[in-house]
Amino acid sequence: MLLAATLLSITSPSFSASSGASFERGALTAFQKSAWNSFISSEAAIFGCEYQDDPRLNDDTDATLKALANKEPMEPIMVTYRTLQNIGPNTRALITNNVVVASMECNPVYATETALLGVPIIPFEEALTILHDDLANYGDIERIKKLTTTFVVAGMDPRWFWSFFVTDRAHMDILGFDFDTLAKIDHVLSGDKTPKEYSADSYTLLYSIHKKLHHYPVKFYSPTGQCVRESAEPSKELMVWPELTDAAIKSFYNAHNVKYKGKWKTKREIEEGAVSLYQEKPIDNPTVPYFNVSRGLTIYSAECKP
Amino acid sequence: MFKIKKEIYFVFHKIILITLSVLLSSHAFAKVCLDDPRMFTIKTVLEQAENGMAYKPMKLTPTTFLMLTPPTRKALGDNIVVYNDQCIPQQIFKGQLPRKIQLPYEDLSYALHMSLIQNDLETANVIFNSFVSAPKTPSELITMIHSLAWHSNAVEHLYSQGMLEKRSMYTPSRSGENRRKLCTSTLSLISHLELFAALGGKATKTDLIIWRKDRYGAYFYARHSSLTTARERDRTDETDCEAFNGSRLLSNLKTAGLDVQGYSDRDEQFKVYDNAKNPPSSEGL
Repeated sequence: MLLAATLLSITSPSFSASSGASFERGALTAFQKSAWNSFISSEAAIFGCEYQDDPRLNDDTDATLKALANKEPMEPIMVTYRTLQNIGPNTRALITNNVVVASMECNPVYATETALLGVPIIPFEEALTILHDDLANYGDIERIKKLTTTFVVAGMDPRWFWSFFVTDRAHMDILGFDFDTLAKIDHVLSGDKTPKEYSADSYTLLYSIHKKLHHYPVKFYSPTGQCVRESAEPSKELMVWPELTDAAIKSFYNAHNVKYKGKWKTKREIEEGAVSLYQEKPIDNPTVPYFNVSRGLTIYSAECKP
Repeated sequence: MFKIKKEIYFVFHKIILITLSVLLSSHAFAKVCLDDPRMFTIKTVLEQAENGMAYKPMKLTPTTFLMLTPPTRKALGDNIVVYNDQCIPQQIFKGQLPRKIQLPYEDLSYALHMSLIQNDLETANVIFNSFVSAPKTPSELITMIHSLAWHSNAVEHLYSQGMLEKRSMYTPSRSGENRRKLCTSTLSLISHLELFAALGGKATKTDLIIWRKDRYGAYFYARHSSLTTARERDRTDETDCEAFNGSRLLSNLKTAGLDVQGYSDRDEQFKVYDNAKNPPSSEGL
């Protein structure tokens, strides 16, 4: 817990989200945002808590801040790490009078005005946003390196990952990020002297960053604890990058040692009015409601032998 | 580039996480331990400490104690009590715990991991010096033979601080010179078993573990469970090393208090072992 102390801004960041919402500056569809929020909630629910900013901060801001200023007895205010980074120093001074920092695994993370006491487990999108915005605000690569020691990225099913984070340069702004800023972060974290060149159709940037962050595994776990295989995948409307191919997904799976088999089956006919290359067969009663089609690619659970 | 044989470790990670969430929700111990609610207002407590004002000692769960930043721990000084595994508060004296506190391995390894990723080597050393891993059954121990999924920086700290000894990977038998050179110059993965043993963990009872190895992998048999490590896919692949150092694993099992034998006949071996431990009575003959 070395330097979170110096990494909570001493002035209001000029480039920051106005709310704690995921993908706030992006252009995701309502369906995609809802799906992502549902994923966050269900993951935190496994550990028995909610992952969100305290509703009192929005519902009754003035009264809440007044109560904090007066140090009135009250339930601690929960804030995400993103929110703690974004809020101005005066508000942070009040909130940290009685605060707990959200963590997806429900481990208690306390905070003073300038330091975290504990390590929050945060969604990958939040980690990206924190790093992205920090570099945009301060341009200080040493801050970026230090920031990465203050949190751990929560684990996720690989299919959530590639739905949102395997995307090319052109679609990065749909997520709300500037590609070049993220490329700088990747370079900083790599420790390489020469920055990597990313072509327009490169799709590996985000999982390259992910691999360099402290993170829990990107794995699919069987609900039974036994090896299982699944062909259930997200439907196309969940995918941020509509042109995502199974080749890109396999490349991502290889990078994360995710075992798979098969490939996406292609359609024989081209639908009128659109080019739809891959077959999508609906799945009845999917385990994860958003993974409701199959295309021919099978993923193995983490319990399966390599 | 070399291929590293991967163990099945992520299911264990998930078990760790869920178990840990239960533990951290203060139901870890036979009795319920809760963090001092003043942790939510720790800023105020630190101000009191800074101003020389008196305040009651902070009562903390071990994990929260370990999550304190070194400056915070210093500011609170000896005005901290830490619950042990029986939920009995242990007063800090001159920054030290009076005796080692036993914690579930999952708690300890989590706290250690978090301290190492933050480069907090002071806390990492506190963990090794002031805490000990709670015992596990022999069956549980052999299921810990899979690798820590930690960031390499955290692992490097384990080595640089002398908490663990660097060992090379195991060279498969009948390897050529190139593979031997590669494997002996490549670091072995660290298993949870090794970290458990390094954290002072012991088996709940002395019992027998039988092991064997063939071209397909290594096999470990406890009385009620077994584990098979990854298969060796291609014996001719000069870039293929065994992820774990086998002699290291056997050493870890012994350090944890288990007796280890090479395989001959599993059922017979356990029978002979049991008879040696508890010879049949000659009374009544």
